[in-house]
Amino acid sequence: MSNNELNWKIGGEAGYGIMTVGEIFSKAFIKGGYYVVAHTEYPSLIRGGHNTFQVRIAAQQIRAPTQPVDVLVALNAETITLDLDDLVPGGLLLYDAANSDVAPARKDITLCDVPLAQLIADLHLPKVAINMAAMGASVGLIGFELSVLNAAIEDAFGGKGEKIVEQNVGAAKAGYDYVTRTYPEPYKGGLTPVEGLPRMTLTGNDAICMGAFKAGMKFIAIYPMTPTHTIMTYMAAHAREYGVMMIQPEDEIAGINLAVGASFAGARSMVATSGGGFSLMVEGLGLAAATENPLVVVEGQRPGPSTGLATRTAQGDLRFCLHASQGDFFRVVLAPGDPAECFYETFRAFNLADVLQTPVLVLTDKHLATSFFAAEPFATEGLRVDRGLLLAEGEVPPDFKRYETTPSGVSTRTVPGLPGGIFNANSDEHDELGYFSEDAPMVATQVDKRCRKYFTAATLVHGIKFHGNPGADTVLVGWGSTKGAILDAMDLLRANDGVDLGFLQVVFMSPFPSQLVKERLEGGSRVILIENNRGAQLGSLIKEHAQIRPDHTILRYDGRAFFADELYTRIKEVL
Amino acid sequence: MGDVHRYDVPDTRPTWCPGCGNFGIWNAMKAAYASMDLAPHKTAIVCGIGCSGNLSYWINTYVLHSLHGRSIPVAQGIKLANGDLTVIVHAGDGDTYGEGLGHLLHAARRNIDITVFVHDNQVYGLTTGQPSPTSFKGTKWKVAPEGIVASPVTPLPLALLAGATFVGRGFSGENKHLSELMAKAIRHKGFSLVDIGQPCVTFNHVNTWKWWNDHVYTLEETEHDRFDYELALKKAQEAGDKLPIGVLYEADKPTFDDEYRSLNAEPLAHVPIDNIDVDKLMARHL
Repeated sequence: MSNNELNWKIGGEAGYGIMTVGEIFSKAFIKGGYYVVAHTEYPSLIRGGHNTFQVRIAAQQIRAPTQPVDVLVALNAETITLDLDDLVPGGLLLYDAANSDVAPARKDITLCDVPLAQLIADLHLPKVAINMAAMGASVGLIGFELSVLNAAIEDAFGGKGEKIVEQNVGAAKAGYDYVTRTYPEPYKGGLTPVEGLPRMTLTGNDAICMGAFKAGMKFIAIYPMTPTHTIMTYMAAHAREYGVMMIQPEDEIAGINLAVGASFAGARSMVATSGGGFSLMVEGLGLAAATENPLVVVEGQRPGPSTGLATRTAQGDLRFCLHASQGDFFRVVLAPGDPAECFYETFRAFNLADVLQTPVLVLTDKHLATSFFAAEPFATEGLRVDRGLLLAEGEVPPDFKRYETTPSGVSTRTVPGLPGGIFNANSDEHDELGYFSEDAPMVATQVDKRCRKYFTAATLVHGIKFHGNPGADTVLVGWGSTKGAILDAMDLLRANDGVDLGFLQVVFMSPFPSQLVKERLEGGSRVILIENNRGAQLGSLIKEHAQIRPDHTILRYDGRAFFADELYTRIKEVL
Repeated sequence: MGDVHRYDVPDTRPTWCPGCGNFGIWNAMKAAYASMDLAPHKTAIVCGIGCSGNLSYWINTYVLHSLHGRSIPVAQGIKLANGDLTVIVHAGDGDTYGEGLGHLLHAARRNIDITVFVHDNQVYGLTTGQPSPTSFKGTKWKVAPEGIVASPVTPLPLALLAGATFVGRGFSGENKHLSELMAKAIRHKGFSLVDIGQPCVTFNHVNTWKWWNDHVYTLEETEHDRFDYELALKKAQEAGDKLPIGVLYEADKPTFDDEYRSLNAEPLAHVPIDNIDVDKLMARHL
């Protein structure tokens, strides 16, 4: 740990509010001017499973978790058994010795015995409140401001009434008071609040919801599935305020077909799911494409195949999303890499869906979707809704042809209720009016029309971002949520080794930015591909579209995201 | 009474087999729409895939010719996005009672104000004659030479148990009766299911015109009380020698879309979206 950085981890039984505590703790430090990356690991269980929440805090910009941890908070004995090895030598274990039947077996750490259960019992609060006491104790040990923690507690519980806020603040204070009395020296000099820009505490899913609200999304059908289930929670909390209808369908098949119907009727519509749910949606995706209805699909990846690892992360669905559904047609596939991109790219996804009249897939994963990050408020001034060739009343020409062949592949569009705009939105192959057609030239014409949107889309999007040293002879290549770990690993390389690398982030997988990728990777630079999957799926796309093979491939596919320090080491191994 | 031909698509004629039960449904449908003077541009018809779904080509309204089995979710999406539209499903028995049976039950329990007309010919016609979920137990088919082992789906009692607020059965051969039944179903506020018996003259050699004519009787000629749920449930289960046609059940209950519109008066599809403020949302994350 450097002096302005700290890694804190809390573990406990599922049901003890580990997630709540983690979010509040993260928000407190972001309020205090720090950058935070917080991720959670938990099994797919409601009760009894082992949950952890790890918060990396730093004064300088950070974007990914690291190992090891400086402070480990054990709310149960299992945390000591499973997570003690995560502690850095000299690190600090906060635990309740009176309620732990496991003795910490390490001599190179500092033990902070805090009678959490007793403190809570003294306050006559339910046992679950030990999580708040542990958080207050942590703030005391780290030498942070209790008042800032209290503000974060109030944000979290304000909606539940003053009494609940008071109880939680009281529990935190009890923990804080105990440690500041017993261990007056803050750990390694402490982390006091710093001057910083106001930043939001949010997950990728939160940012996606905000982007969708901003874009005027009015209809969302979502069947609960980790890791996009928190989109449901967020939507439900704000649906009324934003005049959005969220419907929980009987299954994902119904979900996507509901959304196609709502889109056909003129409302901006979306669905959100994970790989398994998307598997069920595949035929509906083709329906949207064939009828040329705008639709936004959020696919939060987790490891597969089948149920896989429901609560862990992966980037294994890229090829699936690119090819899902039968037949030749064009869909946009894009992958944000951080919360800001989740916001802006989701907003853009709705414009692209309308402008191109085709499905747009936004790929995230459990790590990006549900981890907490610090982000400056999004700049919304320049964002303009573009509904493409959607006609308004009085604009429908007498010879209106919904599927008229055009150079862009996109035709004018009407919605039910609009006089003069009647047409058949036909899943069968059809002619320009939507009437079914098996005429060979017309079939080819309509297939071409829909596929031509690929080239139209390519003129609308840039597709890549380049970070770091533009002249570097070694370029890292990645996509999606690995962006954070890659940028942080580059910071470590620069700071520790004086090595300044470049990073090519591919944002659009379809249309694929072939030329831009070629330009960046051609000319003898060494290419290191980094992906959270087994098959190096972006690598295969680069081979296909840019005829370039990576010199090295760094993959992780055990259900966990890259740690920045781990990636740093793995990059150094091949440098 | 509006003009029936208002709903015709110029220069087209249906490609159903001569004698197909779909012609009767098509004519009754147009007469029903005309009797209500439905404005074609304010009507959205969602069709499934099959001979019934091909009706989408011969009806002059907004149409979405959807997927096999998925027309009910599509129709609900349309209605939820714009409650000002009249939303009607035309789908087959394979569509609705096979591939999409779950959707039928869930739409019924939501009581979304859409109308579902099932063209029930008890056979898969377009794929040249396989038994459907409503084909009778024991009947023999090319692909079931020993006879069908399973009992047929009973859609009307299922819909009633699921919460449908309008349930009826029609017959393609009783055209005036069917037309009136269809108009009643569309007028009904809430989820309506009308199962329509229609002979498939090419592939179903069991449920022929003669079979249907021998079996149906009209509920309106009996003492049936369509507001009596228990009675409707009993009537809906009548099988064997006599099959009732007409309105089996009708109830006035709040619809899903009504309850939603009490919160948002304007249809979702019409709400301006040019300049939505998310600053207040962002502030909550600070």
